[in-house]
Amino acid sequence: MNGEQQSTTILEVKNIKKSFQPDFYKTAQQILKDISFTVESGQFVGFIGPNGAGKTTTIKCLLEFIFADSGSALFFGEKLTVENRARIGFLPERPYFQEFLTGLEFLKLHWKLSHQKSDQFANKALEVLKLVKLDHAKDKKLKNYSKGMLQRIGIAQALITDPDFLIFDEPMSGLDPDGRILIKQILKSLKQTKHTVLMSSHLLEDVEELCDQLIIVHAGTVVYTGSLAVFKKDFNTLEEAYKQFKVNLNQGFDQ
Amino acid sequence: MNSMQSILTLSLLGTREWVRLKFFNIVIFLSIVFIGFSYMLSTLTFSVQERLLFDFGLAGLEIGLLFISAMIGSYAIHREMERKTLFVLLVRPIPRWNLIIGFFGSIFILSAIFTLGFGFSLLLASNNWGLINAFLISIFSSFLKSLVVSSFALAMGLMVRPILSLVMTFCYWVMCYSIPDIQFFVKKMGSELLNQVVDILDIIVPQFYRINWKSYYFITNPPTMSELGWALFYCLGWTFFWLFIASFVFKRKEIV
Repeated sequence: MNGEQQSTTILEVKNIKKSFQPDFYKTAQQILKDISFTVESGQFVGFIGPNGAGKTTTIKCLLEFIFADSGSALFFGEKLTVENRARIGFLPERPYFQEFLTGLEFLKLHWKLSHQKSDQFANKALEVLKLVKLDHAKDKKLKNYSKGMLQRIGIAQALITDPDFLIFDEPMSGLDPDGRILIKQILKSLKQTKHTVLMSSHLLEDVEELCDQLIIVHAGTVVYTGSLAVFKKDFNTLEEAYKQFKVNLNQGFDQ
Repeated sequence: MNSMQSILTLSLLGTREWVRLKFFNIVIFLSIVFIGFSYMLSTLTFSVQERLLFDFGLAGLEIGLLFISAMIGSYAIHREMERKTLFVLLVRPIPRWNLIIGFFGSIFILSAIFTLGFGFSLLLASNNWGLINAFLISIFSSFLKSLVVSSFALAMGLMVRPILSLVMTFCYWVMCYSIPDIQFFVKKMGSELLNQVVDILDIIVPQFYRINWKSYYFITNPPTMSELGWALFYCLGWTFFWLFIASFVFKRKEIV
């Protein structure tokens, strides 16, 4: 898993399109027009774009919470199945969890639902709780967790089964500076251990600090996919590069 | 084996969640009040004290079960969708139908606890333990009917808004009991078309009136084992039918 030498394709997304019809008498709005990209093993990929560009909708399509009108997404070379879901960890945007559970019970719930051996739970839970710095709060009920703690226990549930691929939807949105620093540290440690991560975000500094690959989505279409270093090679920061990219993009749309 | 473990885990999770909500405590409180009321009424009566206690009590049990089944069935999945707790469950390696059966499992457990608790309290109030076998059959029939109602509510809860599902479930329950009455009135009206409609309804709606054993009469004249067996298979058949519909709908349901 984490120490793979050869790069293999973890996720291959081809021409995903998705429309929503708000009401039966209204015309359908196409939210995703053409989403195509790949994620290779060991990559830390930033999935960025403005609000409403289709980042969360894309993730929902990939994980089949909603169903794409056309196109395909292959995880580990095959369609999403019950079996290969076990190899994916996911943290939703603004996670809400069963607040009556303690941190440890919450992890156990996900451990059981992933059909893992119960005798190995204690060690694994301690390991991930230490990683997300919540070992001191493992017996506290989730309703008493702060927002940052909830985000961290969310990361812990994504990591508990040691997945090959992690999808984080806006892991740092709405957090205070301390919370962001902590989450960033956790994500950095995941990068060091060569986890494959797809992280959607609109915080460019965080993406710049963490990611090596970039996917930019604009109005439901992927407009850039490639190395972050190449993307910002003529600029000091990702923000500057992104601003210029948007100007060029809008000019292109105008023409 | 894996599915069984997932279903059990989800059932227990749902049970824990609903037990701590005010709704379930209110149902328990009202049930205690109902048993107390039945007991008081029976002691105030000169004769047929036991009949009054059981007739009132068993009706209270069935209404309590109806509330539990209809409410939890209609709101269970919608609640998880609203709170977005469903996302982290759906990403786990479990088929979607496991979630439906898991949520149904939690209603099953809560209904079973309620039936046993209410039944035991009622029997304690009557202080006539000699009737226990017939009494158990009677409360079991109410429990079976609640399984049909909860599976119907689960299926409807996936197709329409929860409040509408709740109303539909209550209507469904009423209709399950009322077909003979409707048939009677329609026959009086003399409309051939309406007659045929009601005859079809009688086939496509569970016939709860055939297992309406929630009265003192059936405590003293218990149904035979073959009738009980028929009731068991009949109700389980309807329950599986609605669970199948719910699973089928949920398989393609978009969780936005």
